[in-house]
Amino acid sequence: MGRSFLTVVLTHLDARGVEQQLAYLRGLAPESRFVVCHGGDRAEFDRLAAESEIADAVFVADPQLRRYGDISFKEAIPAVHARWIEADPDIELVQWLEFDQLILRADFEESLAALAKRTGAGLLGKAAGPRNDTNWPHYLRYRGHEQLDRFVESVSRRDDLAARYGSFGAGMVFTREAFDAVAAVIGDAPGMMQEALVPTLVHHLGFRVADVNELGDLYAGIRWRPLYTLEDALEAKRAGRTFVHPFKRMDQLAELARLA
Amino acid sequence: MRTRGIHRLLRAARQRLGRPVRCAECGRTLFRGFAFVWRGRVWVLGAGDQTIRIAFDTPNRLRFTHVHLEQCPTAERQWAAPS
Repeated sequence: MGRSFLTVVLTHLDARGVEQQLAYLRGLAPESRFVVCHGGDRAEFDRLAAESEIADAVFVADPQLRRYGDISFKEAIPAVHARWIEADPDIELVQWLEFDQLILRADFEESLAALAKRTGAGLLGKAAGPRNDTNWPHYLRYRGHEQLDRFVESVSRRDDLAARYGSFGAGMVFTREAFDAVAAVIGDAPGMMQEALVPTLVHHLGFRVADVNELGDLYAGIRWRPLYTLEDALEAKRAGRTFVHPFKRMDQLAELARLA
Repeated sequence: MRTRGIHRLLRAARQRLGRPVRCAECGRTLFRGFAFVWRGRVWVLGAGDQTIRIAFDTPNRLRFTHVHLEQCPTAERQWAAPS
């Protein structure tokens, strides 16, 4: 899909790990565009920027980007938007790829674009949807949260201001319009778990939030745990899976590409 | 540490002795637990094992379903694996 699809790799890995991942992704899908949003050690980002020939990257210093279980994108999304999207009208879809979400097939853009077109959704996600009638801990945690309630009220285009959404962290894909809208306001949001904030915000800004699991098995290989081993990843690839998560061994990607 | 051990024991006891609560869509067991009323609230011990959606399906009966549909195989979702 060329310039109309942008994949943003969200990572905290050292420079070597990022390079290994980019080399794998570019080998798998040479026509696709991958950029890096780095939220890890500044020295590693500087090394990447200085030494890498393949990394197009931005650094985000937000400490809450590294707080597992409470990760916030309120600085990362505007930084990515300002760097690559704002001035590029060709971009139509933005895939927010956590570093441990492994892409296994070169046609991933076409698959995601087809779902986005089919649903008309502003955000595709795994288990993405309403949470008010669930026991989801991140919903319960922020229910009645004054700062969040005030923020939602200030930006919402919906009648039901109490509606709250959620999604699994890995697997978020935005339309350009939804990403623009989120980037414009998320800086004023409370710093909170992005799985709860981002889908809620997309909904309240007037866009549809679609659960990929309702549409088919594209995200069947994405799970919370256990970790995928190299053998698991190979098996998934041979079974035709497009994505698996979580796979954290960037040093094994070259071997995966070789064996598959 | 001791508290954690006690919680682990209670959890094991609940998983062993609790009654199965099933997903209303796929029929698979969501969790094993107990429901009771205490101090004006309805407790559903074991529900926290899963992310579940809840509604009334009759005036006196609750209906629980999976939020994570990859765990909820149905005729429309035959690719999903049971939880």
